[in-house]
Amino acid sequence: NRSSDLQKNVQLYKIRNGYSLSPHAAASFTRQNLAKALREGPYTVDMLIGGYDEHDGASLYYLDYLGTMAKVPYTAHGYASYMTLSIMDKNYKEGLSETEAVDMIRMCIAEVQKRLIINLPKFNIHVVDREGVRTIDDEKMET
Amino acid sequence: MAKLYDGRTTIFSPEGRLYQVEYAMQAIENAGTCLGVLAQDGIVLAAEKRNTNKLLDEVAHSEKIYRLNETTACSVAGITSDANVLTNYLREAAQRYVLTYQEPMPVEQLVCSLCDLKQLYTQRGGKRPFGVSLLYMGWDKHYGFQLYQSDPSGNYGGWKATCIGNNHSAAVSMLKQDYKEECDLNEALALAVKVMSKTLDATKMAPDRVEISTLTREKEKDKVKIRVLSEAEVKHLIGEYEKQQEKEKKEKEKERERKEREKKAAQAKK
Repeated sequence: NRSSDLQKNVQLYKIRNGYSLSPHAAASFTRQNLAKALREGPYTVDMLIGGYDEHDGASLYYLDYLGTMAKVPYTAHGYASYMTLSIMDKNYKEGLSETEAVDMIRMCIAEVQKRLIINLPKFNIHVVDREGVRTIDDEKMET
Repeated sequence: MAKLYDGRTTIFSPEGRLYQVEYAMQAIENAGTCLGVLAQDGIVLAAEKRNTNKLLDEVAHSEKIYRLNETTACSVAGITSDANVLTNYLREAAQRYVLTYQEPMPVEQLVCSLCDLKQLYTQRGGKRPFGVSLLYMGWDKHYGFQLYQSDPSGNYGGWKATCIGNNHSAAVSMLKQDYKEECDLNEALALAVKVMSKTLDATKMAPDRVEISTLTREKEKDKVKIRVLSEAEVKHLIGEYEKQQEKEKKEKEKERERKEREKKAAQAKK
């Protein structure tokens, strides 16, 4: 409902202007909506927004329900963050290739599946790049 | 016939015209000339200064060129008080965009937003249209350097070179002839000075009669520079133009004398 409202606005921008919102602009727009809603009917949602832009390359943004926004090289929301941020701290290098990044994600998922009290057998990995968004179908993820 | 239908902006005439809008455009016909030229590496806006009264105190930054945001500036022709309201609106619109999207507002979107407001005043509220035409120059990452013109009807267009205000049709035909798309900023400045001098009322162009500004971009720093030329620089440009005029005049004289001589030689042979 209200989140599809945000999504439709981003699409409307593209139709109106002939070019899409850059990832940074789209994240800022979302952040402003989250911040405005905070005092009236807050969204109780945290987000990670990833996008590709011809001018600035790929970028990742951390947003939370309070209207925080930060551009980050890697991040996590929820219980996963307790287990995975340190892994990413150690293994992340600037200029990672896609395969290396996916491997790192797999490391994180494995850790979560090992340490979290809740059993989470299935994960989806999505990649956002020049060609758009695609899902990586992975047999390895199912335990 | 027109008298019956021109009283209110909100009525069409039987021929399908909006007289109030047309009258607004008429108000601009007599206003100070503004012209803009798009170059490969920047944009030039030149405006005629009408307030040359000696008693007038110096104005803040510039008289006819308004900076709208980090990457856009505009020049106006028409009723100054209307123009102030519109430039205020443009500046606010640009900031509202930055507040939401955290990046500078693309030029065309800014122009569009003002034109939507101008259109509103031709259709609703029973208020008169704004008697202002604007020339906008700006840079954004989508289309690079751009030059736009908008008029009281709310119409706008993107231009390579254009002119509004007094003598604008003469200026536009001159620009049509002399404008080259691959020109650089210096050639654009020279062209602007040339056309401006032909459209100004006075016979001689002087630095206190015209205001020239340029918009350029430093690629490495990703910074757009909007600059109003100093009096000395304008004087230099006018000097260059006059030198060029002298040169052309002398060449024409030589050409004429040569033809005379040829004619005489041909006659003598007979």
